[in-house]
Amino acid sequence: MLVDMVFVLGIAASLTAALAHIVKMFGSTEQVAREGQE
Amino acid sequence: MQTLGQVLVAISFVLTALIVLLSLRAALSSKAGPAFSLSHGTFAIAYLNLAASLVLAYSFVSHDFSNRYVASYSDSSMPAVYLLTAFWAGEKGALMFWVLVLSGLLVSLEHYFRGLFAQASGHLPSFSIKRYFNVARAVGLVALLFFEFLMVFASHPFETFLTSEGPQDGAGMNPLLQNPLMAVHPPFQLAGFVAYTIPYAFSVAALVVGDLSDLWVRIARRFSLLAWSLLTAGLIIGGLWAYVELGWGGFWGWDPVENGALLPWLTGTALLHSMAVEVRRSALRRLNHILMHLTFILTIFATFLTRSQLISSLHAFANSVLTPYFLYYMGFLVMLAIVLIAWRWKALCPKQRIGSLFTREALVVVNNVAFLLMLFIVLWGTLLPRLSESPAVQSALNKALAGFNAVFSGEFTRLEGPISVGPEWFNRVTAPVGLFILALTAFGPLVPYGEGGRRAVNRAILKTALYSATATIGVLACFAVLRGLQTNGTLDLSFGHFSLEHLYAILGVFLATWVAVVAARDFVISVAARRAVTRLSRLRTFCTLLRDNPRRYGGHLVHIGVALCFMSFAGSAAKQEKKDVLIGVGQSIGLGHIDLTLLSTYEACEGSGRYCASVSEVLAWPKGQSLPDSVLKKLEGVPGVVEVRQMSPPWVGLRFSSPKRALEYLAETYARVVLGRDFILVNAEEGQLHLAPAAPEALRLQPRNFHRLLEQLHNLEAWFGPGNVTIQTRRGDPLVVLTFQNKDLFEAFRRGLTQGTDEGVALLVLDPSDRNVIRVIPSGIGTVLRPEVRFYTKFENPTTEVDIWSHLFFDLYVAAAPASGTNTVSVTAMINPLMTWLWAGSFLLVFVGLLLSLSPTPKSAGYELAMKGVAEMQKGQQTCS
Repeated sequence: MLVDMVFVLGIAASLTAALAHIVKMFGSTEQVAREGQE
Repeated sequence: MQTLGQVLVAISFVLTALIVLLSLRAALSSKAGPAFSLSHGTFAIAYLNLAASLVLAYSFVSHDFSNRYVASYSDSSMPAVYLLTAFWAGEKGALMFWVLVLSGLLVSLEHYFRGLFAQASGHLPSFSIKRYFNVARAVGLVALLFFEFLMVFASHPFETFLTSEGPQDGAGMNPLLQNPLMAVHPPFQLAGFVAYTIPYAFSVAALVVGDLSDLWVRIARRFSLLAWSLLTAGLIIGGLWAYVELGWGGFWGWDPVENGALLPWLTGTALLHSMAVEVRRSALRRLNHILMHLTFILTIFATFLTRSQLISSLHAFANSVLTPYFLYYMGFLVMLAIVLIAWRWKALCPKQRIGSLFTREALVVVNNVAFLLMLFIVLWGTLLPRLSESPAVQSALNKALAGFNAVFSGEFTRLEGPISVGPEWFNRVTAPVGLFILALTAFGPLVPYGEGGRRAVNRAILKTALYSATATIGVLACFAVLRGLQTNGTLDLSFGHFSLEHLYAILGVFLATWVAVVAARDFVISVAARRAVTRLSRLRTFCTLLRDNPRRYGGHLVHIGVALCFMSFAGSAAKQEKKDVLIGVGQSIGLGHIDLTLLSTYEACEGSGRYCASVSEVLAWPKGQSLPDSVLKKLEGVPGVVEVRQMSPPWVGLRFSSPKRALEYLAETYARVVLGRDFILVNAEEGQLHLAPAAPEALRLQPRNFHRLLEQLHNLEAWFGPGNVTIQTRRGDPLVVLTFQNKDLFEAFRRGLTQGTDEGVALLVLDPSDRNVIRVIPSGIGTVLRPEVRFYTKFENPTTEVDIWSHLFFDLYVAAAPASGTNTVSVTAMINPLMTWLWAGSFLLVFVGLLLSLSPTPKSAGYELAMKGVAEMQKGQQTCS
């Protein structure tokens, strides 16, 4: 049970971190693009 | 769960492809473009791959046999450690592991560049660094993309059974891989291969961007050292596994896959040396790029050899569909290397030419040529047997041989079939090259960069060589005396046959001593010089030296590790004793200065029932050494004993007052020591003992072993008379009935099986010449080795588990397989000299390498070095004509 929980939490944490970085990447790419246009 | 894994791998693949395109667009753009916004993409890929790896690991841990890979490589009875090992036991998991490690390394690359960018931005326009970085990232991600592509389209780790939810239980893992060393060998080996991607990415980036400075070397050096250390650890752990698991007594069999893994190690070692020259002297720039590309291609070639089954190999654990993909990828990499290096060939001219052969840089070139020669030998020996299977190659080789014979009056015979190249060929051909490299390792560090100080250097070389020669003569003299010292106290110094191996061994000892003397000399001189100023203790001064100049002094420690390894090779070449004999319980064989006596064989099963084993107990006792008095005194306390007499060690004679007492003692003790181990007493009445085997599971797996148990009982008829003890068995029922005519004998056996105390006896027999005497081998003396043959419930072929007694100067290596149906055991015993030196030397290599590449302190120094490279980068084009 404990092993299950550790793995599920690990997978969930990795997915959250991946999602956060994808959001940041597109956010900052847009920013760079905007700065380039300005 | 498997769907989640499939989705994660797919998203990671698409995202990687996207970031590659964005990085290349940014690199090709005339504007600076985004540098670090894309780094979030690398982080996201790493997290996605981590999540996918966790899903796969969880599938193993939770026994989710709906996953084909999990069902093929694990079963529900495997312990947790092997469930995790199963992760990388097969091709699909190895791909997942490769992708996980590479994405982790790319994250560390992003961190590194962020730090470097923060330092560099104040000094020069960030444009060139950003462009450089975008190309390096794209190269790293393309390497990642290739393996993700293989996962998605060719060998998916989350593939499920289409028509069902999978089997009830998995097929289990190959027993050879169920060894703790196999839990660490593949990760180190794979991580070593993967880690070369990072320095390779820098090399490609430098060539693409046209940065002809030493920046890439300054940055890539640390990553190369990390990759080299991991690869070294992988090779050594693999060797150790072969040594303890395969039972042939060696650690390196020149197996094609071992050779494949050695190839990038050879070029990687050469690369480490020439990178140092480029940083110091801005020379060998072309060589470094060539070696870097070659090393990276060879890591892919090694993986290809492992997975392709191109050459039949010990490592052929998988039947792969990946062969064509690897061939295309290697072809692409070779083309890329040729195009890039040819494109920048002129611009990569050396900034400083090598003036003389007697300089460090020239010696490094010679060293690297020797490494490349070794590479060629290993590659040739690995591929030739396979290539020579082709009639066209045979015909070409025959023409070449005929031509050679005609011109040089040679006597080469025509090839009639494929050439077979064995370990002897490799040992014979690589030994001189290895010794040559060792000689360079010895005096190379004494020769300075550039010219100058020739006389002082000559003096240092001569002095250290003399010290080493003296030490070698001393060591060899001691060895000869120890070897020739007879048990009767006389000395026999006759050498016997002197072979080429002996010459190599003596040279090896001399050169390895020289390497260690040169390294120790530099430590002694440097510690003394620093202590004169700091007044710190010697140990603290030594530590500060390592901290302040890790490359120089760490390099010395690595060389000492190499010296230890070569000492071990020399020991093996000079003297390795081996015996391969069939012996019965109580019989002995002499091996060097040790007597080996077979004490017993018995069956035992592992708790969870994964396997049962036939275990042989072998006692190692120094030849001729008397037993300690305390052991003899203890035996004097045995009831009825009138005299305890030391016989041929480790045997002791117990004289009883009458043959009747002797037989009673023999019956009771034999019942306790031997019968009590192999059988359980089921019933004892009316002069009959009903015995059932103690390990019935073992007999279910190997029914023929029941005959061996019966064979052991036949002594009883000889000792107690054929009429007194009758042995009966029933067909189809492994039950043994002993019927006794003599009531006292029956009682003695019953007592032995049900009660009694341990009298410290491991084995006992009736003396054939004197029926008053029982010969015993006391327990608790010498070293008892327990080699096994294991029979796994899910695998047909048995595996050998050797037992090794490791000593500072030798290993006693024993493998034993009980002969089927008889009471004899086939024993293979060896004395392997100086094996612990090999493991100690290898540990030093890996430990220092990892310490230098992973130590956090030189981080700022690393940036500083890189900054020097950035400054070089600005003037790079100008200084190179």
